[in-house]
Amino acid sequence: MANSLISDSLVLLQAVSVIIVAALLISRSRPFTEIIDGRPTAKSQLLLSIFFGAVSIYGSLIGINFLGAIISVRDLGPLVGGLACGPMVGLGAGLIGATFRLSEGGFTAPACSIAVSLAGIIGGLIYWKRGRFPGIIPSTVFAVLFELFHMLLTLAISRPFDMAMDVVAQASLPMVLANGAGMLIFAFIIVNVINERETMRERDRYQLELQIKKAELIVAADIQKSFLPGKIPSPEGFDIAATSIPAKEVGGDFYDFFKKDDNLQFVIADVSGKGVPAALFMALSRIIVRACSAPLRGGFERLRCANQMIVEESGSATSGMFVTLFLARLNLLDRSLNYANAGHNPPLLFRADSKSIERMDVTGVALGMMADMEYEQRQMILDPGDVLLLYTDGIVEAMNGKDELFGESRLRSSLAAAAGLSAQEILDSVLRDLGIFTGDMEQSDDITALVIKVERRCSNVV
Amino acid sequence: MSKMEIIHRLIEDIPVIIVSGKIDAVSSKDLGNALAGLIDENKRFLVVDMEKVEYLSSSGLRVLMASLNKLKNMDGDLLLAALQPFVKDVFSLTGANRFFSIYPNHDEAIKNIKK
Repeated sequence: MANSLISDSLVLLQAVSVIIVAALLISRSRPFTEIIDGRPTAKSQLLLSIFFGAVSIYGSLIGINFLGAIISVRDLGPLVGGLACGPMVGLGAGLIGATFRLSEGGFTAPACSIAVSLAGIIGGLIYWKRGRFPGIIPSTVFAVLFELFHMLLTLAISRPFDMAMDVVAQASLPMVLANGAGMLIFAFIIVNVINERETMRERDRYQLELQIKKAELIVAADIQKSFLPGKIPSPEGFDIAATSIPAKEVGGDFYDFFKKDDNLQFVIADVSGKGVPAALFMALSRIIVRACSAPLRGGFERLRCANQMIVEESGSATSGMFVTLFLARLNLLDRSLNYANAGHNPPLLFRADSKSIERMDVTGVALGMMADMEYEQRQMILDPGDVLLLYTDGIVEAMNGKDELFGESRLRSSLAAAAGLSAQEILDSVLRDLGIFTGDMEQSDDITALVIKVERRCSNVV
Repeated sequence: MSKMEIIHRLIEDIPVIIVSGKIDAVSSKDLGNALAGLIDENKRFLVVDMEKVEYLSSSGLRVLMASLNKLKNMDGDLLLAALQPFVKDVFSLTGANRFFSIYPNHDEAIKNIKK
């Protein structure tokens, strides 16, 4: 008895192993993943029908004699085929299983053939109704119920009834258990594959979205770069350099030059915040400042005009957005500089003679904060060797690893130390000092700077 | 110290938001949400105590401006208290100090609402 238990169990174990291997193989096959991904082709359905039909034939053939009762897992193939791949595969596998069972003969052949066909058909209908594999527990419950139905069917149509009764009495429990267990294994593996595919699809979708966003940002960054002057003007007697480095792809800083007759106007500005919102506001502000600098408008009415338009057109009252902006007009002949400062970090003017640094203080509030603001205009005369440094708060508010800000005093030292060099070299030197200070800290805000140096050799112009 | 913390208090029925740390581009969103939440509850007068705020970015100032404008439209006000030197500089540089009522501490601010 003990021996037969061991040998019968071994045969059963062997059958279970075959089922696991079959499930693993088919779940990774292309036809199966095509169906899971919702793209069933006629070819893959045919291949799967044959596969699950073969599983059904195997289930008939092995007919395990377990402790005197014959256990068949013939229904399992069509059941799984139907539940996981839909009515076509269920039907195909069921018919293959049924044809084979009929060819075997015996008094339960009609009942078993009908049962195996129905297994595939009903499984397929469940899939069709649900639109997907119903899951581990529902599938297992269905397999158990179906085997019970199979037993009733055998009793109903197999004759002689006494013999049918004997078979059912012996086989029903092991059949229910074996098919239930087989379904459990299959369902477990199938659900794993489905989840895996789902995760993969989600990851792919997410990555695609990211790629699109990234691509859009790159386009936006290009558009924004085109807003900056393509060429830095180089009027005689002056040496000019400028740079703008956004913290993200796009930023809220900008600078601008417009030359008219003997005047060079220039602007540096910083929109509150950063990234896309700042970039949009920057585009609007830049156009408005340009429009307000149209030739007819005299003096610094243009800042008043720009402020009014930004308040009226940008919805800045609701968003609280504002832009700090420094606007100057430099007379290239007499080197007089008229400026107005709308809440912007005061530009620094290094005086070559005294080696001292002057600030060009704020003369009005940031643009967009409130309507009807006035902007005072001030004047300075630049001398040969003087260096004007305009910058945004991304420089003075850059932090090092110790949470210290770069600050204006470090910027002053940096400017003073480099003032003898060319405009581009001064700019590079200041940014280098900033880089040394911040070390490996990530750039957290847009950085923009403009250097205008009065050349020594123009000293005899006036 | 973590970046920014917000403590809500109700003093004499006036919501007081006590902020500490750094109000930068990231944390200013939390401050904006806190203020918007109170404004949505129809609180017309709010006090922001900034005694422990060591840094205020332009994003942070934007959030305060937006709330101030909303409250003024409701005949309310956003009162600020205890600005530290750096924060005070941001307000005076941009000119935003012209639009806010600023007090040495939150008790003083509350007293001025009662008037």
